Amino acid sequence: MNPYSILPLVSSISCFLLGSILFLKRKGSHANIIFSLECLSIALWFIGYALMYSSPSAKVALQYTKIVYLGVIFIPIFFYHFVSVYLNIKERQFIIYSIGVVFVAFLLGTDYLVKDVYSYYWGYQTKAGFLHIYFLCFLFYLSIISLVRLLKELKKLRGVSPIRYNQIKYILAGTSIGWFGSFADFLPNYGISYYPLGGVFITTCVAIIVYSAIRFRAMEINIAITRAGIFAFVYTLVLVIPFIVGGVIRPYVSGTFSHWWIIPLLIGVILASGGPFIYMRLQRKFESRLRAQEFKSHEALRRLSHNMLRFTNLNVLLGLMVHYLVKVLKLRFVAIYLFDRQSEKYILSSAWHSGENIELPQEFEANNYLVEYIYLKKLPVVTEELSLYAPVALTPQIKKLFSDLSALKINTVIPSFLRNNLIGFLILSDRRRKNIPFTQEDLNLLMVLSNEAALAIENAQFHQKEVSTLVEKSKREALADMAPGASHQFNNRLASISSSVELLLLKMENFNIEAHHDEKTKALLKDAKEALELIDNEVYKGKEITSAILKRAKAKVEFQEFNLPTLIENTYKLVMISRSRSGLDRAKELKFNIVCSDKMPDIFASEALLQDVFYNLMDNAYDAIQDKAKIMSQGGNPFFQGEIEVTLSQEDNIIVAKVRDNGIGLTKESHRKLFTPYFTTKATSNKGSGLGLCVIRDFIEMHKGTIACDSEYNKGATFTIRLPIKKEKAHGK
Amino acid sequence: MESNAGRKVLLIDDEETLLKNIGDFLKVMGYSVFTSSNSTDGLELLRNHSPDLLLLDLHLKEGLTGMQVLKAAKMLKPDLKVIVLSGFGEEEDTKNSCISLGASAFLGKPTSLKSLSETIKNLLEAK
Repeated sequence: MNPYSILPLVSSISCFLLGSILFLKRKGSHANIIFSLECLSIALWFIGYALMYSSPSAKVALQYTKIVYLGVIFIPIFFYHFVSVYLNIKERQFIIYSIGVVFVAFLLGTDYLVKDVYSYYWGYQTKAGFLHIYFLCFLFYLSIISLVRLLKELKKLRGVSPIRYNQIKYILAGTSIGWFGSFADFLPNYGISYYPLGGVFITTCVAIIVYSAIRFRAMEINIAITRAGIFAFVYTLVLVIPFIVGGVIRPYVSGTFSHWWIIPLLIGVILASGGPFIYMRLQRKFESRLRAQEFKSHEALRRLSHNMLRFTNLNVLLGLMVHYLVKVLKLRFVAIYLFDRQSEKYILSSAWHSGENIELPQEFEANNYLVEYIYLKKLPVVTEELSLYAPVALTPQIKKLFSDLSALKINTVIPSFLRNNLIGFLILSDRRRKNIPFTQEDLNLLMVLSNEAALAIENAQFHQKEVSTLVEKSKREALADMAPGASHQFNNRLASISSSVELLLLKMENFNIEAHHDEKTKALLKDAKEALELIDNEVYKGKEITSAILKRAKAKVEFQEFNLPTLIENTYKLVMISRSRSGLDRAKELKFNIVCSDKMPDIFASEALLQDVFYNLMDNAYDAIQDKAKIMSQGGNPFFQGEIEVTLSQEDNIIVAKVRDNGIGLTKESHRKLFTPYFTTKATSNKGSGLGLCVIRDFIEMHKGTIACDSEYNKGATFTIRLPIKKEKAHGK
Repeated sequence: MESNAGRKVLLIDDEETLLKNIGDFLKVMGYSVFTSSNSTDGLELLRNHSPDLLLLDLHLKEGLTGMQVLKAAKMLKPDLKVIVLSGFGEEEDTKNSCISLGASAFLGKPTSLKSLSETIKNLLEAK
């Protein structure tokens, strides 16, 4: 076989394989089928070359050249057709196919297109007939129209559809390489001795286009071209050097050494085995320059995901994540949604914008199709891919998902899984530098990051809960330490005062004031008596305070039986004691009411924890009433009557406690975020010193109970707690 | 008031003011009153005068604790009526353990003199 046949043979096989891969991988796509046919024509062209070069005679070569042109005629036609289908240009292809058939007729039936063959040093090559120049015009015409159409589309898609934009760039780049590299192949048809190297370029072109069509997340075009370029360069060397060496040494050694061809063969083998290493080395060298920015950002993401576990404050962690991602990936916005098990929704927990502000939804329902889709996929969802790579018939859900995500300008959604639960997801916009889609590598890294984040989030949530439980415990312990001694001291003082006062009052009773005639003395004694009675009353109020505090201090965390109404009454007193400093600014004195039957059974529970629960609920109610009173007085009604009512009832083995207030209530947003860690409606930190509702919920759940909130803004709020009366197995702390 | 004459009440409390005030009050009510601000003197008075009733503060600064005094007093004089006063509030646990040691009543401080005198009267009349 003629060694010059190797290049076209290799090209032919490569193009045939690439076409087959495309055909099999993306079945059903019209554009891809046509491009597969294009590959087939190219394969035909090159196999024709290979056969023609190795032909024993000009006559045989002339037969093969017909095969060559059978392929060549259809290359521009299929390409033109492919481009119009790919760009959704609706037009009839009848005329150009007819022209193609006419050329074929001339090719097979006459010598107008192919006249004869030339004989060059590499073998026989087609000799152009007088029609050949018209064929070339036809070819130029179709190619230029296709190129112009692609360029126009590229301009239109800028910033609209990064993935498709990138794909068109691939097609353009591939086509340019292919055509400019292979037009010279027509020179020998006109008698110019140039060995056709088109195979290298055309194969590169086909490889680039096929890659962009089958690869979901194609790499950046310049990287792909660099890689393909390095590949072509290395393998051209591998193939060409042995020939040159062979050509150079042949005259000198062939006479003395009959197996002279072993030398170039050996060189070829050595080069071929060294090729991959040279290729990888060059690739790394070029890419580290080209992709320096990308490597840097990947490194930054890796660092972030390594360090995330160090953060114990959830808000700081989430804030850092969104901020960092926007900065590193150069995005327009990033948002994190986290699952809230109380409301069973995914709630917007953190977001960061660079520049323009985009209104993201505050929450996603757990049965939302986006959530369901990512739950099923367990992989990043790229909005554009939903429409680009979906099966031919889009389901209505995916259509809706696509339009919703596009409307929000969401480019990618990255799920965050923890033990197979979707604990949340990341939402990413497209990049500020438009038209660069995320590569597979980016997305892999983001998946790692988001799963690492799931751990970090769990860690931070656990830590925060632990800290606040600890704080609460140490508060409780400090109170338990101090309250008995302090109240003893205080009660003794009170006892001294009250006994002195009572003794004095007793003496005054036995003393006949009226017997005195001096009016001034009479009045003074009367005043004194009133003052003493007042002091005596106050003393007993003081005693109630110490007793309420003592009860609080002595409440046991361990589960035991106790009377819930008594506990609630005492808790209310505590709220009033701690709040009497500030007082209800603009409201009348609060109405407090416990509604329950006398036959309320004792509950088996942790007195201390439930006291915390009710204390915080009533304390919040107090604030809510205060806020409402403020608004009412601004509206000209200074006498708002605040009310807190606790209703206790029994349903089978469950005590239902409803804590209702007529305060300001909760806005929808506050209501939604109510049980998320460290959420507070209170602006100032000193006010929000109570337990978060999320800790309250934990306390209730330790009792195997539930808590729910029902509220309407400006009307008030009702918290409903359901607690089992008895417990099979108590697990108090 | 005369009916109280001859009834002897012993008062042990480390609060001097309270000691004096309750003492004065009980004297006015007609009782013979002995007071002590510590357990040692208190038990001495108990031995020497054999009072009918003991008013005992649960928390004493020095010597024995209120509980210990209560035990000792009941040993010395089993039929002695004891009213325990506590500055720690009227806590059920403490109250129950005092009653089980033989105390007749348990009052949280501050308590009104009137209710105190009523309690004393009821206890002594029940005798």
